[in-house]
Amino acid sequence: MTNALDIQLNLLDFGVIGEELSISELLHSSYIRGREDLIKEIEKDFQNNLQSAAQSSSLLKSKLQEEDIEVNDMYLKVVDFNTFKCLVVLKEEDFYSKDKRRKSYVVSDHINNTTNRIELDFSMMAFSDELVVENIKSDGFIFKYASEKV
Amino acid sequence: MPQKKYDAFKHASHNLKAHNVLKKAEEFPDWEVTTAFYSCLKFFEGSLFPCEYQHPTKDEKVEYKSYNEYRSAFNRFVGGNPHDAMKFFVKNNTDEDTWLSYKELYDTCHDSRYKNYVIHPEDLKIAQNSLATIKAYCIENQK
Repeated sequence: MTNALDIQLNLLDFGVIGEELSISELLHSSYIRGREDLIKEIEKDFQNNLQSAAQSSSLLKSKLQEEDIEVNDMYLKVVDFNTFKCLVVLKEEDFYSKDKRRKSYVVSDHINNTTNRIELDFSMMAFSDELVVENIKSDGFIFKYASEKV
Repeated sequence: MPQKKYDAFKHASHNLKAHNVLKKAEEFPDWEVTTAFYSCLKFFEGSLFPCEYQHPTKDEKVEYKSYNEYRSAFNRFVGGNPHDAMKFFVKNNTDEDTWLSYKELYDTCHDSRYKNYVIHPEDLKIAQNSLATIKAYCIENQK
């Protein structure tokens, strides 16, 4: 027997044998279920991107160490789903040595160019007693390298 | 009355003049860095256009009448904030010394907020040297 919902849905040879839900009710329940799955998938992708940003930042630190350039601190910020920014605080005398500073930029460019998954912008500055971590935090850098809270 | 045509090179010279006034005063190193940065932005805009450049994503060269045209293409195909567009342009369309000078100047200017705008004399030197390098490049390669 064909009922009103069968006609409304127009699913050819398929008829309703379960709960009679309108198209908007069907959409609502499938959207909610689909959205949860989608969010889980997006969360996983985002976590991978964030891990990739952290790995590339650590790689920069070790590459700079090989060049005898000392990194005092590193902070990481999420700009969007696949864009990140890493603030690299170099030892004062290393940053103010033009050769070492330039070398740091070249190495960071190279790491950025070889990372396809994400965009990672490295910003360099010299360590200073004037550095205010609260200012860095308020600018969105919520991760700090080797921080105990992580 | 018709609107006056915008001249980015004139704007660069105006910013440079302000920079030199501040430099002479020796009292405002933070504004010296800022005006060095905004002079360079306008030198790029005012000197390197119109010209053919690599499209931000396509494998082809395209004629851009102005930096605004280039930025529109960048916004459409890559996206990001206005500074991202200029960084992308300088990195991909100038030489290494100019790109690294611009990156140094950008970071010196931007990151001073993390030190409450206290400018170390060496930071000021970086800004001044970057400005000199970028200005020389732009004048030498003027379109």
